Amino acid sequence: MAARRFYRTVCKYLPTLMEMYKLDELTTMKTLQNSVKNIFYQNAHVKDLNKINVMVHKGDEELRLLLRMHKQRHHVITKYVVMHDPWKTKAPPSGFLAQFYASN
Amino acid sequence: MTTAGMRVWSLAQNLTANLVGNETAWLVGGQKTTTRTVTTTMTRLFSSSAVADADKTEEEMPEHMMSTIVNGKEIWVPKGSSVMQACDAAGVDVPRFCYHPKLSVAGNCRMCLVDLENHMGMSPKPVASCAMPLAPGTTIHTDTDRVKKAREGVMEFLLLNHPLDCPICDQGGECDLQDQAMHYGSDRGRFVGTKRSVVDKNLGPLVKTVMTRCIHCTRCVRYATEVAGVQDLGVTGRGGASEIGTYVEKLMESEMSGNVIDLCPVGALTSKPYAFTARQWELKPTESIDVSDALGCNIRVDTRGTEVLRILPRNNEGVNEDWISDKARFQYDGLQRQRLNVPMVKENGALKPAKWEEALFAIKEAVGGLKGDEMKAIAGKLVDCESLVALKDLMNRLGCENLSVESVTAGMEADVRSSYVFNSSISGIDEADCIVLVGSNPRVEAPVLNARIRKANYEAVQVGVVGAPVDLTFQTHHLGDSVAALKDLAKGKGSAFAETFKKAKRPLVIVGPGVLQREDRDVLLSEIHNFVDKAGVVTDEWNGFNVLHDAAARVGALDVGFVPSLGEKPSDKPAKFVYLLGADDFDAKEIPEGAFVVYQGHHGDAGANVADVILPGAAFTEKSGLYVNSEGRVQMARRAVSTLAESRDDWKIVRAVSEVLGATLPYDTIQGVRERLVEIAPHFGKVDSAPEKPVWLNGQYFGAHAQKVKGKKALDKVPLQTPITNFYMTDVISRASRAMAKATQARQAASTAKQ
Repeated sequence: MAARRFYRTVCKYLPTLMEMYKLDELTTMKTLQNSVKNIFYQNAHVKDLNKINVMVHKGDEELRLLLRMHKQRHHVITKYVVMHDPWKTKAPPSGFLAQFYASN
Repeated sequence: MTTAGMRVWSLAQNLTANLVGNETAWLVGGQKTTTRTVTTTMTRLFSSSAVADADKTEEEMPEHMMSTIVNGKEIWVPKGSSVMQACDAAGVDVPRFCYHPKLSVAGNCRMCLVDLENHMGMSPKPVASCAMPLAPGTTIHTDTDRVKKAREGVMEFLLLNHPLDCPICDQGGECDLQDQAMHYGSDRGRFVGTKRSVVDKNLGPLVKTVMTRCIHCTRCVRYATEVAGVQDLGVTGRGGASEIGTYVEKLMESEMSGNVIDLCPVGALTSKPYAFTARQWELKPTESIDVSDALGCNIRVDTRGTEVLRILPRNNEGVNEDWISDKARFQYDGLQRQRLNVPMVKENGALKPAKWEEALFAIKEAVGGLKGDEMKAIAGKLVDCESLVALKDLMNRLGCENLSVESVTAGMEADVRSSYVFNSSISGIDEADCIVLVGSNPRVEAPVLNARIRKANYEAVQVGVVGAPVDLTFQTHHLGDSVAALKDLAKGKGSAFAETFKKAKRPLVIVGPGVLQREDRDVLLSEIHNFVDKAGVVTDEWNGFNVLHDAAARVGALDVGFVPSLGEKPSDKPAKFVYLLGADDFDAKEIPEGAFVVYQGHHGDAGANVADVILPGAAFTEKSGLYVNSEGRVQMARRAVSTLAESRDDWKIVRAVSEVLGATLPYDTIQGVRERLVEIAPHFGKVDSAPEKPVWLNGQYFGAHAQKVKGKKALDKVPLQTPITNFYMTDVISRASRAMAKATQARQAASTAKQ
């Protein structure tokens, strides 16, 4: 219940956030909604009520920080307007190559 | 200069040089050293000091040693040592400014005054220890009041006219005068008045002069005349008016001029590019290897943060003694310019920055479906052996045999090691008694080696030149422009030099890199070999056939076999895929039209210009890599700074490419690669040790070789000459360097002014 209520709150504030952080330069309302939805679905397997409550609380905290501009634009972009990286999804075939791609 | 270890080490090398007039061989510490059959000069006489085994009694000591007492301690030194060498051997510090073990003794700074005592009593006045031969029955005192007072007095005189600008002097912190003033100077000065001032001299774009600071030790003058072989520096005027300079304003025209900076005990001669950049205590030193020529000079790379701030020589008697060339010393600013720091992929005719994944994927796309004989790999001048072996393994796994080394005519074979290394070893030059250079100008190919030949020439070893006439800073005999001249030489007739050569017991033939680049290389080499066989250059104890290379990676590449495998022939088909491993000096026709070119390297130069994919590698200061010098000595360049941005160690790049192409190499650590190197050539396991003499198979090898070149003729009309037109710019680093560009400009201006 709490999760659903929180999801609706987030959706209500999305246009505000969009404007505050000038996200319309980078994404559309629909894709933003989609990515928020995906974040919620990522935790769909959690059934423990206490855990859900903690997550909702943390999410609420995050939303307040966003609305007070305590976060900066690049935080929002990297976290919610994920620039999709096609190379990231392919698992590197070996430990050596993974290390090689990451750094020298 | 004062560590006991170095002294003991130099014992075996120089001991016999101390025996004036004695020409027999001595067994010292199990190592046999033989004297040269010419008069030993004063330079050599004082270039060594030695400590004998203190436990031995007088009867057990060999005849050539003598004993003395330094400050009450008995010490054994070779006969003919100077008083200073005896003090050094006893571990007693004697301050000095003008004395340098590699230069002749001047004895003009008077800082090394000591008291001597014999049966007649104390010496009437203190004696300059560097210039005083040690006589039997002499006792040395360095701790008397008179010595202390003498040092204070000399120091006070030196400081009279020395400016008090230490805070703005580049030598601050590593200045002999500063240090010795602290140790041996008086605690106050008595001088009031005006200090002398001297006009600064312009020695060119590399060496900065502040002549007021000069204390007239004349080390630079002696270095220029004796080692560098240019008569540019000298002393003018007398007494208080004497000045070090070039008399008329003139560039110091030497390829090794930078060494005067190290020699100068004060801040009179400092580095122009390094001026005001750092203090010595801020710098992190890393012991490394120079790659600007094939000599593998030992260097120290001084860094601060991510920047290389200067490069200094390290002593290695077997390779570079105390010297390095100007290119080795000053090209480091090229490491900051024109660098490749992100992978790039060509899109619509223009290179665009990309991720490593994209770059490797582009290579996979290009290679897909190609056969081995449609590919090709060229290795450049500055590549380390690890990446060479990795690329060789990768190409062979892809079925490709078209491997070649840059700046060498196709068809170079690496089967017999003695056919492409400097067999006599570099220190072998000291033992030679006649030298012939074939198509070589060591002054630009390896200036430090040239200084070594000059040293031999100084001791009456004659040097003959076959090829275009060259100025090597010493007297040479020009024998002819082509290998035809060798025929007369083999007969030992026709000229005075030919007769000397015939009589020589340890003749030395140096084949220059220019010969390896010529179209008629095979013919030339077999002619040179005929000559070597006939003239007896190779005997059981002596191998005087030497090849001098001009690229740091060349011998390493041949050692790992970066050539088509035995029995395989490079295909004639034009390649569709070319892998350039740091190759920038390739012939334009080596890259066929429409081929997909991968360039792996650290500088944007010719190679990156033609590339479809650029993989950014590391420069020699940024990775740990093995290099083999001309004489076959394996040495390690160590990481002094971290790699730039997205660039990676070169062997790792090749390893990653291999995995993406589905031909994964069986090693993924640097140890793994080095084990593979040892598997191919065992000498890679002996890093930093003197090279073993390679087995001489050239008789048989070139016998078979003669069949191949039968009927072909040498192109006699083109004279043999060095491929290097501008000493200061020979590879990607030096071409990107501002200091080297300025040096080039200054040299050109000087040569036009002469005409």
